[in-house]
Amino acid sequence: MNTELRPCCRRLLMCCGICLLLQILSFSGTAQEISPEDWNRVKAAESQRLDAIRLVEGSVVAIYDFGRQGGGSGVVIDASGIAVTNHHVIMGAGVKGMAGLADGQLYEWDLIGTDPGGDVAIIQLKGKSEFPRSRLADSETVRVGDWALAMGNPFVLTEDQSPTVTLGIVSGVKRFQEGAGQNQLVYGNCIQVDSSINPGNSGGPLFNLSGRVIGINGRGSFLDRGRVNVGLGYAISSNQIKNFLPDLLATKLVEHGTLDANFSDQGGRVVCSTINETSAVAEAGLELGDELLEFESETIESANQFMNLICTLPVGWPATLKVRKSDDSIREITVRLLGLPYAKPGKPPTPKENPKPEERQQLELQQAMYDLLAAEPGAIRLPEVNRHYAKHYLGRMQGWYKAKLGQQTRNLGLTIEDRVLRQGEEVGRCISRLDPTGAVRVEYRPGDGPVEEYLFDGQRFAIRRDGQWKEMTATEAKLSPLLLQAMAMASIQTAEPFARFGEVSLDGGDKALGRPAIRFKSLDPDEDWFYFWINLYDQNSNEAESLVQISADKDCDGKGRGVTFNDWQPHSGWLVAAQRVVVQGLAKQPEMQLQIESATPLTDPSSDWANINALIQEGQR
Amino acid sequence: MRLMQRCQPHWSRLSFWVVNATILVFSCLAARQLPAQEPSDAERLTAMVLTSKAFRVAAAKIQPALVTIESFGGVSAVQGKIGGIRQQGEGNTTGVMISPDGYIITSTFNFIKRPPVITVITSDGQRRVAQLLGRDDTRKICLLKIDGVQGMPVPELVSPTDVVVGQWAISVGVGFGDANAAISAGIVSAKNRIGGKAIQTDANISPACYGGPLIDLEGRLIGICVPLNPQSQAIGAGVEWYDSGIGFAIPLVGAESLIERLKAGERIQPAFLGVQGAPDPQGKGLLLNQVSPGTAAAAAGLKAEDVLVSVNGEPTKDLMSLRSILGRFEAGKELEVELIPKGESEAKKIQLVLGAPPADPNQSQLEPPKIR
Amino acid sequence: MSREKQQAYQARVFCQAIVQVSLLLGVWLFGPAAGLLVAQTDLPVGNALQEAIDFGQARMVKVIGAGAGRVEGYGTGMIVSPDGLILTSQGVFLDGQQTRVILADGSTHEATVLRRDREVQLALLKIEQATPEYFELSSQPVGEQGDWVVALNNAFKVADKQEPVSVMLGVIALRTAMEARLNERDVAYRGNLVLIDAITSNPGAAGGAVLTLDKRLVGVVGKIINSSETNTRLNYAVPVETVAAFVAGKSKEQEAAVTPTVVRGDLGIRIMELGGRKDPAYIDRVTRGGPAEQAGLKADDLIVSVGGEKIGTVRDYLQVAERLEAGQEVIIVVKRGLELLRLPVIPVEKKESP
Repeated sequence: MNTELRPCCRRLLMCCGICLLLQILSFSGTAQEISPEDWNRVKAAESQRLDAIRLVEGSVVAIYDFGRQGGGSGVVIDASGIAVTNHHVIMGAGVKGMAGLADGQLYEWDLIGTDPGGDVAIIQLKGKSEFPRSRLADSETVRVGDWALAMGNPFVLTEDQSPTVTLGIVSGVKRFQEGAGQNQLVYGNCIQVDSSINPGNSGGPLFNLSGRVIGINGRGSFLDRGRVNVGLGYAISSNQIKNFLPDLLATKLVEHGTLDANFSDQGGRVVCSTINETSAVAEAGLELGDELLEFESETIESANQFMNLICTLPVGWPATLKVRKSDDSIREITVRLLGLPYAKPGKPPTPKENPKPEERQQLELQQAMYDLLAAEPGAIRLPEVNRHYAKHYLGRMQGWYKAKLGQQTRNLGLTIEDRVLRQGEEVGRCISRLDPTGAVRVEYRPGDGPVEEYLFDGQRFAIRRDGQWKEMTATEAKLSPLLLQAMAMASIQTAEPFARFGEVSLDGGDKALGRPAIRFKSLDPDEDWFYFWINLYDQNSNEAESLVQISADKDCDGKGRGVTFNDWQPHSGWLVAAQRVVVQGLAKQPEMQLQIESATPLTDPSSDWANINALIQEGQR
Repeated sequence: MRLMQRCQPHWSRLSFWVVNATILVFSCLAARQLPAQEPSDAERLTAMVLTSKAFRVAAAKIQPALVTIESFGGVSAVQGKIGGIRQQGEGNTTGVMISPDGYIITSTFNFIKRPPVITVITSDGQRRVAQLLGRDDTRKICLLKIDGVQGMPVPELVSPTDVVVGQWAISVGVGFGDANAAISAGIVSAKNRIGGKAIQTDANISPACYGGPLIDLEGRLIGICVPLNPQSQAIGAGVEWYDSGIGFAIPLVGAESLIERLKAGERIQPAFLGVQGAPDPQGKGLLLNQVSPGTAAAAAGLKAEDVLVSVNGEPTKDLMSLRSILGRFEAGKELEVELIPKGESEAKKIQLVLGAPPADPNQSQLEPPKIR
Repeated sequence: MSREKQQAYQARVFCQAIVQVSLLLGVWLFGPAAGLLVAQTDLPVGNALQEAIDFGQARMVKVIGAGAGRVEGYGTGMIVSPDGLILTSQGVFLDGQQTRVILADGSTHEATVLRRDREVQLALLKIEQATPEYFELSSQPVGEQGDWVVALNNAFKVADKQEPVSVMLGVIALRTAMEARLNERDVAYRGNLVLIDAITSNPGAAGGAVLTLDKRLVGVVGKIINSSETNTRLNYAVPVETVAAFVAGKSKEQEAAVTPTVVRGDLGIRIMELGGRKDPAYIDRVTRGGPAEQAGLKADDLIVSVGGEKIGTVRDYLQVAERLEAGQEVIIVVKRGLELLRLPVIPVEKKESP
């Protein structure tokens, strides 16, 4: 007993001794000093800020014109060198110029697209294959009182291109600052901060302690001290920028959206007070006196709130409203927004006879600026550049695809068996066979009715109803959603997704699966088109360039309907969308749902099942 | 029991290693895979309250080295501007004791009026007459001396290399007229500003603290608060940015030889070349379009349509790079300049002595008028 | 087991125990450090200011009055009682026929101006509405230098209707007493101030609330004024103890009425006034046999301070000389050559000139 007790006693004594020692060490110092423990907490909180600055500083751009005069700021958001800034910065600098990064180097930049209405522009930095970049946050998560850091080049103070950092808090969210000129430089739903924002900060990032960009600084309230910060700065929210990114990448001069109807506060309700009778929203059923309950899925409590929200949307955006009519019924309306026009520039610059070298560059830039502002809003100004970005983001989608698959490799095809549902009721079964070459074969077995089969061999389409295989045109194929959904899942893992439907271009911005998306357009030699949509960000505001929708019709209307894809899951080396829905119309009414029962590798190595020639000849025999 | 005792050595050795290995592995895993824990609201609040305490402790640490400067008389501009500003405040200003025998650093801004009489109240409450010695117009700092003192408290300095962009920075000044100093908390916004001479901060910097210290959380001196604006050399230039989140402080680490020159009464002026230009379309350098008469450029024989290729070996592609190179030198400095004279194609190198900005009748001397 | 083996065994167990405990200690000490990492998501995680902001916003109001030329017709105010008392800053915008108050819920109420104090620049309004959420007014100073404060105010009228007012963050810079005014024609603010380093000197901000992070009211945002010391705009709050006295109805005039009359004192100094009142205060001559001569003051001495107050100009001297009491000793500091002399002087009763 003795020999076993003593070690235990020793251990116990030692534990007590150590505990006592720790108590003494953590005893707080006097008021004139700070205890080491408290000091560590203070330094740890400070470190969070230092880490956030380290994360972002490499991506902050000092923007100049070609003479390296003037000053604005920007932030790189894509490693290929795509940066966001303000429209009024490029108005001052031109359609090209010089940029400085925190590495101390200067780079050339070109303008891609601009949005004068909301004061957002994007530029392309040149000279490096990979640039440091920052990620956009979900600005809906920003709260008053959050720390807000701004980085940029106020008063053009930087000499080594290192950005200026200022610290403050978010003073207000969803603020409104009136614009200037015709429908320009309006800051709606913007973030107000007391971080020091001065001339030169414009276009630079506002970011949180996680190092994510919550907004782009662009304006301030200035007192009669002149244009010097007095504690009120405003930043365009990152979510608004996401809404406009696709149109800007498409090289457009982008307009902002309007319903051509207005609402005002009346006795605690938000009521339609003006409406253009010929507008799309009037045709869709909105009337004077209707009470606005929701706009873009947000409950509306004031007319100001509606006005703020609509400032964040581009022309063409499919906006949804929920209204209460005069008879108390609830109605949902979805319409594409009309554009708020800008004033056209005056006269083009007069060409000069035999200009001197330095004058020639000036004249070129002046002409380019004129061309930009005179451009047809919504038109693709630079088709070559547009196609470059179409390829770039298709590449991003392929990168997302590979990343989501992880280590899984694919050698074999895949057979997917789905239950087909309409309004929750099973109406049939669908079996899709996908081949690594992009070929697909789809068999639809409705509960009542004949079996339908579709086939795509990579080039040609065929359909079999009532026993005989017949060739289909591409146009007919685009109107068959069941064939399309399989073809899409097979196509996106090939080297050139959707190439069969023609050359791909960036059509513009749109909403798909409730989030901003790039709408791509394929145009085949017969001038027949096809659309597919890619989301740039997922619901957590992380980058995830996934395919979300396809259709032969921009509004998912017409016979072809549209198919939406969600919840991509890896299966045997393939990515399959667990949620596929055939939708109809701008409001994306669900018509038919495909629910996965099983997804198994196609063990039959022969691809005879996709040999259209053979099958058609067989049928003809 | 005897059996256990015999077996125990093996068991205990094994269990010893197993238990400790487990603890080690567990702690390593915990340290690496612990999910990024966001501090709770209560923890954030505590950190902020403790930061306030740190501000107070830091301010208390610099307080013994703080001095209050009183000026009597001098010129004040009511109609025109003096020192670049229309009206200077009437109150006391701030300085920092930098040597135990009574040398005090402050800002030239505090003496725009050229007061004939300057007194200084040190932290022990004693008031003494002070002499104004040398000044550096490029940094807007100057040196005072009080006599008959020893063992005066001086601040601990922190080197700019140890200053981190984003860290806390607190300005301290007595300019509001109270015996106690006022503080403002901000961060270090950038380093290497104004020709590499200043550290930039977004703490409130204004006449209330010009000449006073910008300190870090440990109470060490980051620099002396001064008004600066790269667009103008007037003494008061930069005051238009007071309390705007754009402020500057001049670090004293590395300024030892400068202080010696100020002790000797030297006046250091900014470098001035006297040219205007734009980037040469062929990219060779800065194409000059104007050379002001009576300036260093004119004296060296530079002419309009010459192309300035480099100054001191650094390429001058545009006016901005020229300004930023010149910003690092003083008037009187001799430099090598490379240029392509008008009409020629070969570049040649010449020596050039930098001049001072053209004399401004208002601020040509800070020397006080004769006193009785 | 032999004695040696027993001891060896005990020694080994002892060492084991040390190692085990120190490892556990290591985990305990370094474990928490691993938790302070940068977050990777944007989930709303709150902030340290949330409580103070929510507390304050419910008690803030927007005051709409009469505009006049360049002067704005709006300001900020705060609820200071459960029965609808609103504190705001004194201003021209309250001079109009109609003054309205918008509560945090967006409802608008007619307000009557109960009283105003031009020296501390505060005004008290009343609305006919129960206001259960209000600021308690401490009669003791709140907050010390270095404390973080949030300033809730509607600068530039950015917030409309029920939108929450703007929130700014700063620290208490200094507690001081000051006299300052916006321009020569304005009434000077005289009293204690809490200087803060958030920029509250903006149109429409006056009347806002300055709170510590633990929801205590430090003061009310003051009007735009310029400090003559620095010739810059001051960012400050009228301290809560002054506000409490004002709301409770105590005024400075009442207090001043209590102080007894004093006999004015004369030092026997003639100041050199030829250069003007803004020049330094040189002694022209001292009255023969007067208190100054007796104390040792001489012509050409430069007066540096009187009774601890710095005398920068002739005007400063004349102002201080007005307040001297006969028979009350004051210390005068003068500069003579390069020396500073401290001389006690007792003023005699001032004789009115015939």
